[in-house]
Order: sequence, then C-alpha cells, then structure tokens
Amino acid sequence: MTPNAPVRSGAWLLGVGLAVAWVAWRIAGPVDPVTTDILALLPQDRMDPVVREAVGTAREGFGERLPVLVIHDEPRPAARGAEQAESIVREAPGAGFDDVGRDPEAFRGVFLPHRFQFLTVSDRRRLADDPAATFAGDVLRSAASPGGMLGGGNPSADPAGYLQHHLTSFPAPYPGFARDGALYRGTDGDRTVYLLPVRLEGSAFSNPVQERTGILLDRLRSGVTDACPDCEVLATGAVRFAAASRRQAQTEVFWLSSASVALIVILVVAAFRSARPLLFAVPAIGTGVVAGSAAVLAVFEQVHVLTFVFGTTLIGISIDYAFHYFAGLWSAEGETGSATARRIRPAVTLGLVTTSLAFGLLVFTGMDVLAQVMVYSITGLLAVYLTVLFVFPAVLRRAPPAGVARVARIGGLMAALGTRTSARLIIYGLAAGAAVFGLWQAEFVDDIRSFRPAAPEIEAEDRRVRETLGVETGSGFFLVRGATLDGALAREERLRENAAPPLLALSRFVPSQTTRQSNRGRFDALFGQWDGVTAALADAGLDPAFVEPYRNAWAKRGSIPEADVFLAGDSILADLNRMVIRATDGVATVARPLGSISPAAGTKVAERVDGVRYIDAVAMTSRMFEQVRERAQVLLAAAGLVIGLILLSRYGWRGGLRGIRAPLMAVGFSLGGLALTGQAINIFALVGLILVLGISIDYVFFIREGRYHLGSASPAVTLSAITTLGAFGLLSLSSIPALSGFGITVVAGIAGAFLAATTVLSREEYRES
Amino acid sequence: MALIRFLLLPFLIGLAPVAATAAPDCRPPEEAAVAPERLGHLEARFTQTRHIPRLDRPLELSGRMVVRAGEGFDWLVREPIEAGYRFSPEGLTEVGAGGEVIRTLSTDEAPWVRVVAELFSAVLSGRGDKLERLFEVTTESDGDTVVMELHPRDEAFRDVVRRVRVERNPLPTRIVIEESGGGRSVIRIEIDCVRPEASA
Repeated sequence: MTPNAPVRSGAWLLGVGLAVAWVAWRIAGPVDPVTTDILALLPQDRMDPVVREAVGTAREGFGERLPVLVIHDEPRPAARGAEQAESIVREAPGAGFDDVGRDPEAFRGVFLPHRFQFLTVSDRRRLADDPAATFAGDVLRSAASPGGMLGGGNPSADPAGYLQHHLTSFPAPYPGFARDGALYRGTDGDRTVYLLPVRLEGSAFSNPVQERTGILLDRLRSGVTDACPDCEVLATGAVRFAAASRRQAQTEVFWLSSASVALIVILVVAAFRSARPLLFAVPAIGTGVVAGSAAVLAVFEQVHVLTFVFGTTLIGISIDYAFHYFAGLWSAEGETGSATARRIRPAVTLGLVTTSLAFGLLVFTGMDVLAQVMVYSITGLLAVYLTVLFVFPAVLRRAPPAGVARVARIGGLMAALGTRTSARLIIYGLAAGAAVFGLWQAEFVDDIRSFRPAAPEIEAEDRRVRETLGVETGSGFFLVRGATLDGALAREERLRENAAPPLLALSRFVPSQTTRQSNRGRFDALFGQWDGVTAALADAGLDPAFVEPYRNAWAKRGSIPEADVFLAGDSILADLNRMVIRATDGVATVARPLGSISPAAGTKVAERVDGVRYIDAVAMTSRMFEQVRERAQVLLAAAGLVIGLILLSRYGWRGGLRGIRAPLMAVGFSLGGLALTGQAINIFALVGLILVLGISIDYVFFIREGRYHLGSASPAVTLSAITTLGAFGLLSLSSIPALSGFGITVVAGIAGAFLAATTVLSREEYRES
Repeated sequence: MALIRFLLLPFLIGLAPVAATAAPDCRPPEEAAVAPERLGHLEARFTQTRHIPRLDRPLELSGRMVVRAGEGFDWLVREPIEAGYRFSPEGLTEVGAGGEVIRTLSTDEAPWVRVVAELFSAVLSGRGDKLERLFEVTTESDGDTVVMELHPRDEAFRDVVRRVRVERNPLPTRIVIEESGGGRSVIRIEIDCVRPEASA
C-alpha cells in the first residue's frame, strides 16, 4: 500500500532535515572534511606503502614550509623589516620557524661522546697514511688558524678539528645564506635579503591552515611596510597554491551553480508558463545535492573539492526526472500526478539504473575521487528520483491547463528532426565526422601539472623566491632500502659517491655503522702511534699536553652503536627521523637532491646501487593518472557493452541497435568537441564521457519508453538537453583546466545525445506515435 | 728541526705563488704614505705568540698576511707548520703546504668564519666605520702610537672574543686578542708594502 501524501511529505522532510544536519555537523567538526590536495586523488591502495609514505613525508615537509623573503637595497632597513616580520611570525598562531638549518654547533653535544666514529671522507683518506704525522699536522694547522685563536672549534675536545669538519660538512639548506638567529641573511645582487623559514602547523591543504596563512601573510606585508616602507615581501609554498586552488574552485562552484540554477529557472517558467514547477524542481535538485553530500561525507572521511565541483553537474542531470514528470503532467490534461508518475516510472527507473551503472563503474578505477563522485551522484540521483516519483504526486497533483500547448511545441523539435530523412542523414554525418576527427586528433595528457588551475601571480612570486634562494629542488628523491637503518645508510653512502648534485641524506649526518667502524679503525691506528704524535708536536713547539684531553677521551671511548641510537628519544637528531621510513620488512631512507636532476639521470644513478630507487612524485602521479585513465577507458567500453545488452534484451535487435547508436554518436560528438577546442583527453574528460553515456541512455529510455506519449517524452528530453547544455556550457568556461575539459566533453556529448535521441525511433514509429 | 725545514722547503716553494709575490704597485709604507682609511692592499710579516689555556708554553707562529680591503685576507703561516687560510666574504679556504686546498668552509657552515673575517678585515684595514660597527672603540694616544681597545658589540662576537687591543703607527703594528675562553694571542706585524685603494 502506498503511503498517503502527508506521510510521504513528512518522511521526505525528515530525510532532508537529517541529511542537512549531518552535513552541517561534518563541516563544523574538528576534521576539515574537504581537501584540495590534487595528490589525494591518487589510488592509494595501488602504491607501495613505503613509497606512499616517502611521497607523503616529502610532501608534508614541503607543504609545511612557507619561505618568506624581506628584501631591501640597504642592509639596515632590510634588518628592520626582517625583525618586524620575525616578531609577527612568533606571535602568529600555528606558525613558527623551521630549524632544518640549525647551527651545526648545536649538534656538537650529541656527537662529542661518539667523536671517534666521525671523520669526513677527506680526513679519513688523509689519516690512512702515516696517521701520527697527519694528525700532528692537523693539530698544528688547527692551532695556527685564525679561527683557532678565536675559539673556532673546540681545541681540547677536538684538537685536529675532525669532529668540527664533520659537523660543518652538514648540508646547508640555503647555500649562500648565513644563519642569523632564526632567520637567514644573504644578498640578491646588491640587495640585502632576509629569509624567514616559516613552518606551518598542519597540512597545507587544510582550510584552517590556508586561512591562517592568508592572515599571516597580510599581517607580514603590512607590518613590514610599517617598519620599512620600501621593503619587498615575497612568499611561496604549497599552502599558497592550495589556497588559490580552493578559492578559485569555491568561487567557480558558487557562480556556475548560481548561473545554472538561474538558467533552469528561466527555462522552467518559459516552458510551463508557471512558477509552480519551480517550487518543486528547486527543492528536488537541492535534495539531490544534500543527499549526495551527506552520503559522500558518511562514506569518506575527507572528500576532494572536485567531488563537489563535479557534483554541481547533478543539477543538470537530476532535473531530467523533474522535467519528465512536469512534461507528463502538463501534456496529459486532467491526468493526476500519481498516474503521471506511474507512466514515466519505467523510463525514469531505467534511466536511473543505467546512469548509476555508468557511474558505478567509476569505483573500479581505484581512484578515491571518482569513487566519491560515484557515491555523490548515485545518491543524489536516487534522492531526486524518489522525490519526483513519490513526493511530487502527493503535492503537485494536477497541472494548470495554460502550459499544455507550449510544452507540446517544445517537443515538436524532436519530431521535426526525427521524421525527416535529410535531418537524420545530417545528424549521422555530423556524428561520424566528429568521431573520426576526434579520434584522429585525440591527444592523451595525464601530467597532473596541467590539471592545476593557473595562478600566474603566485607562480611568478614562487619563481622569484626560488631564484633568490638559489633553490632548484625538483619533485624527485631517492628511496634507499635496507634490512636495517645502517644497511640503508651504507647504500646511501654508495649512492652519494655516484650522485650529482649532492644529496640531503641522513648518512651525511650519521654515517652507517660500517663507515663509523672504519673511522674507528683510523683512530685505532692513530692512537697506536701516539708517541709519534707527541714528538711531532713537541718538535713544532706545541706542548703535547694540548692533546692529552683527547687521548683521555679515547681511553673512555664506548662501543659503536647502531644508527638508530642517534635518532632516538628527544635528541636534537630526532628531527632526522623525517628522513626514515620504517616498514615491516626493513627500513628506508629518503635522500633528496640539492639541485635539479632529471628523472632519467636520477633513475640511472639509482640503478647503480642495490636497493635504491629514484622517485619523481610528479612523474609517478602522472603515470598513475594515465593508468587510471586507461582503466576508465576499458570500464567505459564495458559499461557500453552492458547497456547495449540491456537495450537489445528490452527492445530487440532493431530497436536495440537504434538505442545503441545514440550513445555511440554522443561519445563521437564529445571526442570531436575536445579535438575542435584543442583539449586533450585526460581522466576528467573520461569521467565526462561516462556521464555522456549515462545521459544519452536516459534519453533513449525516455523516448523509447515514452513512444506512445511523445507529447510528454519529447519536451522532457528537449528541456533536459537544453538545461544540461546550459549547465555544462558554463562549466566549460571554468578556468580550472580539469573542469573546462570535463565541461566541453559533456556539452558536445549532450548535443550529440539530443540529436541522436531524435533517431532512436524509426520514422514509422514517429508517425505512429 | 733543520731536517723538517729542509723537507718542508719544496712546500714553501709551492706556496710561494700564493704568498710571496708582492702585488703590483705595493710599496713600502714609508714610500706609499697611505692613510689607514684609504688602505686598499697590505702585505706584512707577522709573528704570533699564542697562549693556550692550561699550557705552560705558548705556541709561537710566524708567517705572512695579505689584506685586500673589502675582499678579505690571507693568513699564511710558515712556522712551525706551513698552512694558508684565505678568508673572503663567502668563507674560508684552507690551503696546505703544497698549495692544495684542504677544505673550504662557507660562513653559513661555520659562523666563526664570519667572526674572524670581519674582525681581521676591520682591524687590519683600519676602517674606522667597520670597527665602530663591530666594536665599542676607545682610543688613546701615546706619542705617534695610537692604542685602540675594542669590545665586541655583537653577541656572537662576545662569545669568542673578550677584548682586542690594536696598536697603530699609523698602520697596525701589534694586535692582542683576548679570547673569551681564556686564550690570548699577541701578534706583531711588520708591514712590507701597502697600496691605496683604487680611486672611484
């Protein structure tokens, strides 16, 4: 028994209310449910967990950083500006200073008890021959150095400066820039530059961090200008790009959705000469959006902003069901809403099933964002479907007589095209031409950098910061695996012998146990010739008592620990754990080139050492997008096959083949549209093609199932096509490349689907109906 | 000792291109009559007595120095070991007896390099503005000799240097450096030649 109208309306209201409450609760919750991180689109389960963590660690390190430059022609004003900037950063919530370039002297305390394990490559080589003479010479050289008379090094603890040499061999994070408190000072030509190595707390892709950073940058610019009016402030970092992407996406979603809704409103009022359908269509669409959002937020902890952006497309699709109902009700004078709902149910149901099938296949791409789009879309469509078929008849029972004639005229366009042989031939010709041209010109581009919205100002500032700092690091790094940390470090050392440019690698701080044992061997030989050392020093006029504390320390030397010991606890070296990934089957370290290296050169260098792999995050991500696209292509073909079988089984050979022709023509138009506008085919265009497939099948079902009621089916399809074209036409204007490509695919495809829908029935069937 | 000197002779010759050749136009100070603040280039011999904490006997060193105003200075020790230290605004290059580079240190790798470079450049070049920027300066005159006492302004400086005393007549003749850690160096300077800075 069908529930009565108040019960249906009440249940609908309750459902919508609950969904709204759930969405609001998630948005207000402690975890930001929306991410803009393009790498979050990756199919996480298909990545090696160690590689995934390494990429994550590398990105996290990059994402947390916000290098800020304060520049002026004169040193003093620059210092004033920098001082002001420093105090602003110190007061800012969620921001602090990066300690990656901590003064090497600060490391001395950790290394001093283990000093007889550390030698630079150069010192180790020099100590190999005649260690006593070499050591005595080094002690004298150290004592004779002007640095020696000014406390450079630590003469009694490290008379030859070997530990000092090791400590000062640590890689400088910003070559050419000298540490000045928490900041760095350097020059850019004649200009003085202060670098503030700001570190942000939290992910660069989270909204609160982006908002905090925006406020901080505003304060920095105004505060520095107050202290130094002519100072220039430059900043870069992943957070700035992520914030720009989010702003752009949010702005576009708002405007595109608003324009899309406005278009639909105009069309509905014009077509039905009544505002009443609007009162129902808008809540129906809203129901779809709310239900889709609630579902996707229930299934996924974090949802990519693109899911919501693509979700706006629901407006274009779900209105089809409402149009079908309105056109049915308006065109059948005197018919009740329940009777109309019953009449259109098979077509709408088949449309829902096949569209859901097309969307459902997205889950097999293995890509989270596409699975999110699937959940969003199917739930949204289902919500609108239920609203149209069960709530509309309860609240919109009869149509006003005024709109009937106009609705019939709208449907006349399809009949006019469908009954003319010349029109059909032109449509076939256009579809074939578009398909051939599209396939001929088809270009596949999966580089993720081409998906990112352009942000020229931020890109220009980023370039200037990089040029000033002389930082050319790319997105690549070496992943070095070993059974133990020391095993990985030994391989890292071999890698460093081969690698150019130099690497920011853990083994530069803490060499492998093998190397430290080898260093200890050099000291064994040295202290075995201690008499030679004291004689050489005495001969040069230096009291041998100068090196006595060193020998006393040697007498108390401990064993050589594993490398993990240096990184354990709250040691100053614990920060270096960022470069280590511990897995169940061993340990890996991440070594980052301090300069640019091509992926090919990186791979070649990595191949020379066992257990080393060069990973270029951008290239790897692009490759994954390519794999997902290839998979989506197969799924699209599979979806077409399944839908074809459904059509054949329901409409027989002749009717089925006519039905199959429609989606093929629609896809042909899409490919032609992409080629004509110079757009490449990527994963987002593929998603568009899946959408086109779903909608074109909707049209086939609407026309075939409604062939005895073409007076209502044709207007429904026509209105649906026009509104969808409007919605996606707007999307194709987006400045986000992924969105505009998607929009063009769908616009061209829907135009094709509409034209193809006119050929779904034979001319005879048109005449009969 | 004589044997060691004999053995070191080739290295002395090796270092010669770095150390011994006087720059063109470098003339004895009495001929050049260059005012300290206009000093562009200075070459001198030095002897240094370095008192190291806890040691009874000081270390005696001697060698040559070359000061290039605005560019840095070379500190070339000849006794008791052959070693060269070239300071520039970018950092320090240590050179061995054969002229080979033993190591380089940038100022960001070792902050004390900046301290040393700035101190010696300021003291040896006689630039009053530089000295005033780095130190609190008190000056006394004793006949033709001017005695300057320098107390570092900068905290990083104070960590390593307690006080510097410079005797000039009019160019530096004696420098006493008292280290914060208790060490003390007395450097006696005999200037061989000087050259004024190039006019703009």
